[in-house]
Amino acid sequence: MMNNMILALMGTLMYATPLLFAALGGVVSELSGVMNIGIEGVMTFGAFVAATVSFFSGSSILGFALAGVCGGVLILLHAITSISLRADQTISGTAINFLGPGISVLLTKKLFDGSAFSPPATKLPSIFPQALANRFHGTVFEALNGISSATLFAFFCVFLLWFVLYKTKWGLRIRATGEYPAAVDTMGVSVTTVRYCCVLASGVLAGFGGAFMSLSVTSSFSPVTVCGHGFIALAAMIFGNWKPHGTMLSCLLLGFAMECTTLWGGSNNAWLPVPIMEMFPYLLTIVILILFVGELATPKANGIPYVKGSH
Amino acid sequence: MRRLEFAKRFMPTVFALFSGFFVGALFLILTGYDPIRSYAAMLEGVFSRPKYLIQVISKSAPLALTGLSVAFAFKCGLFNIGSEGQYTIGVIVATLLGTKLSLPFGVHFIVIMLAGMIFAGIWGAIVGFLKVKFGINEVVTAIMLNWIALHLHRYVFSFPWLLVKNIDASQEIKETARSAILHGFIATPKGQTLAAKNAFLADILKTDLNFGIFLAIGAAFAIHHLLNSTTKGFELRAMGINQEASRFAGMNIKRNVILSMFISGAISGLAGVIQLTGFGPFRMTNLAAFEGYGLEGIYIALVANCSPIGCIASGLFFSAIKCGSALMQIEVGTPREIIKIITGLIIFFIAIPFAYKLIASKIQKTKKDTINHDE
Amino acid sequence: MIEKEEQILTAPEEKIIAVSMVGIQKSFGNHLALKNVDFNVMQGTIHALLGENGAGKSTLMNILYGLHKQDTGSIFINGEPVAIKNPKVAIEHRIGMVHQHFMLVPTFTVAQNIMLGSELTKWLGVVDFKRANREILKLSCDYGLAIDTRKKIEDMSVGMQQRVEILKALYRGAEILILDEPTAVLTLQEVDELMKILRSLADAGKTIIVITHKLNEIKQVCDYCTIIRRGENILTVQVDAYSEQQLASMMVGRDIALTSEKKPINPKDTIFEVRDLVVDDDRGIRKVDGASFEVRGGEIFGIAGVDGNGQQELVEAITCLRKSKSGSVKMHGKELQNTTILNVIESGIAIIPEDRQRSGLVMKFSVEENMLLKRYKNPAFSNKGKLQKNKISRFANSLIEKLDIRPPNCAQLPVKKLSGGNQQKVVIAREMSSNPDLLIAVQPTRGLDVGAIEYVHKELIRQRDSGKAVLLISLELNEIMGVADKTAVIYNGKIAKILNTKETNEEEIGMLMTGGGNFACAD
Repeated sequence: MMNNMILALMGTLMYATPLLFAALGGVVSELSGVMNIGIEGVMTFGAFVAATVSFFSGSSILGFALAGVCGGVLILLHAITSISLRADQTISGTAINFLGPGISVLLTKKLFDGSAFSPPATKLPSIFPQALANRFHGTVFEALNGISSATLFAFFCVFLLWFVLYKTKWGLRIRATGEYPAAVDTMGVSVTTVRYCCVLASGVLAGFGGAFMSLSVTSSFSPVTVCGHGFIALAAMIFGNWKPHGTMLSCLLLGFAMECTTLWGGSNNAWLPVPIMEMFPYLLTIVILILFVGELATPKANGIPYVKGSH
Repeated sequence: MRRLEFAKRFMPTVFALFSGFFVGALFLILTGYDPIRSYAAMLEGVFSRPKYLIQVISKSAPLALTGLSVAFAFKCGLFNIGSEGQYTIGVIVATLLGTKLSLPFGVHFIVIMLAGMIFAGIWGAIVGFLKVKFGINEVVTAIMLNWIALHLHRYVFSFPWLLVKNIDASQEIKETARSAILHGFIATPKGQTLAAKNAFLADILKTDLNFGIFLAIGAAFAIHHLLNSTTKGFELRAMGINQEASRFAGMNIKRNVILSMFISGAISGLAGVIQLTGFGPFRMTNLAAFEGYGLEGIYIALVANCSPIGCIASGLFFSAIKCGSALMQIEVGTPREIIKIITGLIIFFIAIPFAYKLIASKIQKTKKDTINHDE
Repeated sequence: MIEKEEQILTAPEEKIIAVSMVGIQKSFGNHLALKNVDFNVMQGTIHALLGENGAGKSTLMNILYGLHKQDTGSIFINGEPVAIKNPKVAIEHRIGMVHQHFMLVPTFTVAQNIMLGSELTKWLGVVDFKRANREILKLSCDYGLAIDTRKKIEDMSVGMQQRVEILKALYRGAEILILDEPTAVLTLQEVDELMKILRSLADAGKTIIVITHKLNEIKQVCDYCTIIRRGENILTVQVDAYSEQQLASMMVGRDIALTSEKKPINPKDTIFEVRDLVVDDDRGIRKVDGASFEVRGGEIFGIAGVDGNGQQELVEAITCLRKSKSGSVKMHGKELQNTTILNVIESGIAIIPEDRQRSGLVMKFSVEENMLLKRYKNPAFSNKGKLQKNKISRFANSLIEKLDIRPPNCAQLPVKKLSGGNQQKVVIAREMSSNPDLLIAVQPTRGLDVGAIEYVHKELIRQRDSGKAVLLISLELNEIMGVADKTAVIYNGKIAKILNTKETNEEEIGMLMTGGGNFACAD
């Protein structure tokens, strides 16, 4: 029983981690007023970069870090079109969702002789060093050793983001930009700079999320590695009410829902057909939205390009 | 003057298409593929044989329809990213009714088509309902419903009375349910003799030619008529541009949102029905991920500038590069994903009309400045 | 006319010229907004910038604050030439601006808003809220602008929000303070309060520039006044030397008739009746609190009041766009309350909405389509759900001709290509074409030029003279005084009093608008 619970906890954390990275990315971007539907595409790209870099270099940490960097580079396109060129942000994000997977699969085929799958990648290190892990052998802690260090990093990001957004001057400016950009602009702070920084940060975070998918969830990159997690992350962001801590809770909830599917789906005496159970996280999202949408504090200027001198 | 207006309307699209291919070519060079040979193979894959051309035309139908579905929603001020799910519902309905219902030829297809459209329409209308009733953004619910539809697809697929175990696909739908025109004809004695006599005809007889394209054209004209010549269409267009003013004019916005999502969903459903009934192997296969028809609808609509008739042309265009890219991958070895990249780029270039205005005004300004200098 | 020489403002020797803008030119696209404008302000004075809507006042000040960049011309602050390329530079030169639409984040507290962009921090960019609160409190005491620094902006009155804006500028050490239409949204008491604040700031050595078109305020508090007309500066004068009437005629460039010509009133039966109407806003706050009035045929019934006293909710409730709590709204004796707007339209009510671009028109639609907007289902224009294009275009062309909508033959042109006045004509054409028994006009002349305003007023009067009813809701007291036969004053969601416009005056209405007069005694 205890073991089962720990197993469920581990699974929940594993599923929640990529969602959390991506959803935090969504939070930063949308709090500054830029809608970011392209997170899915960035995650796919991040997943690809992490898997290939870790395969060639043997270092999963390098892969993870570069996935963040490349995520930032890809999202830069979205930043340019939606901030400087005032494009429709939904459409621009959709473009990212084509570009990211397109580039990833094309390069995978190029690098791995026409195969759309990358070879197995090294897992991200777990939270305990090997020496310590050995000592835990046979105890309850042994199971905890399965927790990835990136999971810990994701939770650290929650704290960091919360701190930046609610305690520092940059947070004040970011939130004001998403709420009422003209107020920021007239006080001599560049709306464009704030938004660029936030969108880039969101790309880096989404890249991390994708990296976790390919390194620690599926252990390799394929065209279906990310399979909609970017969109689920956006939903998690919305019912996390655009707050880092709220988003953390909703990601854990969705991670738990996914873990339940895996646990029950794996056993033979499933009381519901597996595909029906797999609908659960999505249905849950809709139900939660129905219940709470009225109380959400959507950033007012979200999705609206800022034109100087307009209100 | 008229010519100028015409050019103004189409220039951004042409420019976007051109830029998409151009940047795509740069990307190919960077990754070590030959863009000229790749694009040439793509063209070859469209025009070199009548079979290819007919295949392009046949396969454009589902694309044009999902494009039409998204374009119609855009015209009503809604973003239907749920086209994928509605398409999937169409496929599911077509499979179930196609395998289990026994009706005469023709009637069977019409029944399937109507049922597919109604259920997919309802699937779309749910999104509209949640939007007007609870104020939930249609993009989020539509994406969730896409995934629910995908899992529903897999659920239906697992029914033992539908599944053919050893080939991991559903049973074939009945002959009476199909919309394919030529399928099986080549296997008949008559077809054999005809094919033996004429290589050209033999080539064509192997294609998936079906009524899909005629239905797509019909649907496009019907939507064009609805939007531009009827009172309902007037309401929907007004709502698409300015909901507040439409409400002020006494229109029922809530009902119209649900209705337009229903229509949009029904068109996507029709695309699914045609895909299943019009193309071999006439059965539902296990899906690991989305087929992508719905998402493709988005760029088809954008390239068509949301014009219903334009969706047909746009659908043909993308069907061509899709079909052409298959030959490209085989002959040149360039991965077909390049078309995904090109498409992504095209969407980017279409999304930034402001950039064109910016460029135009800069050009005008420099012109003015030089004139001033001359003085 | 006034002699040209007076344009040059000669400074008394002890005063410094704080702001000097020379030869400012600015165009937006093909529209020349400012033509070679000179503008000088002396330190420690209150200087009004007077002009009609669209005359270029705000553009000039946006240039001074770095929000726009001038095409040509130069700016001097305290005699030094400066290049103000963005608000940051303006703030560095100790210029502060209070915008007409407040630049405040509604969900932030007073302190957060005041700090934004110049935050006090401890380490690593961590905001020191304690010290900020203290400093802001000290600042507010120094200038006598009491405020609760921890309150959220969205929970404050408009007057207090403006106070926050002024503090925001002072917090950044502003010596030159620009206020754009500062009294447009204030109650009369708040206006008085503001005037006192401005006077004391000027006495403390601050230079204050007020953009306005309200003459009485200029007379009350300003030292100097610069008049701008259609992008050109006409002249700068000492306010004491001129009467309001003189300033007014300089502003518009001709003598203005403050009252419209009207035939004597010929009232008929009551057509429209509102009884004890109660309406709440989205946040559940009571906005209309038992309003009752009736409108007869052949009269223009005006509702005067300061913005935000329930006018918006009243109109929304009448048009069934908002549910009312109780009471009744009757047209020809038939109950309309909480039905649908379609029902309201069909009962013979036409509406000229407050925000024509948002509620009145579909900007991307053609003029023809906009004229059809409420009547597309009329059997004259549709047959079994199919639009009758020929009939529609004949109808539209006849209206364009009748109302002289410019440019001619604009039926197929998108309405956004028309000027504001012509857009309003399209709305009026459409609303009048159904021959309504009651016309509700909400701020019908907002943002229009003088010619268009006169036209709108004439249309309202024509409707009245043909025996139909008009309900005019306006924030402009002049408009109500000039056009309405009866005037109801709305204050705090209640109808304070209904008066015959002829038998009252601006002072009485002004008192009622701010809760003064008989009504306040009973309160």
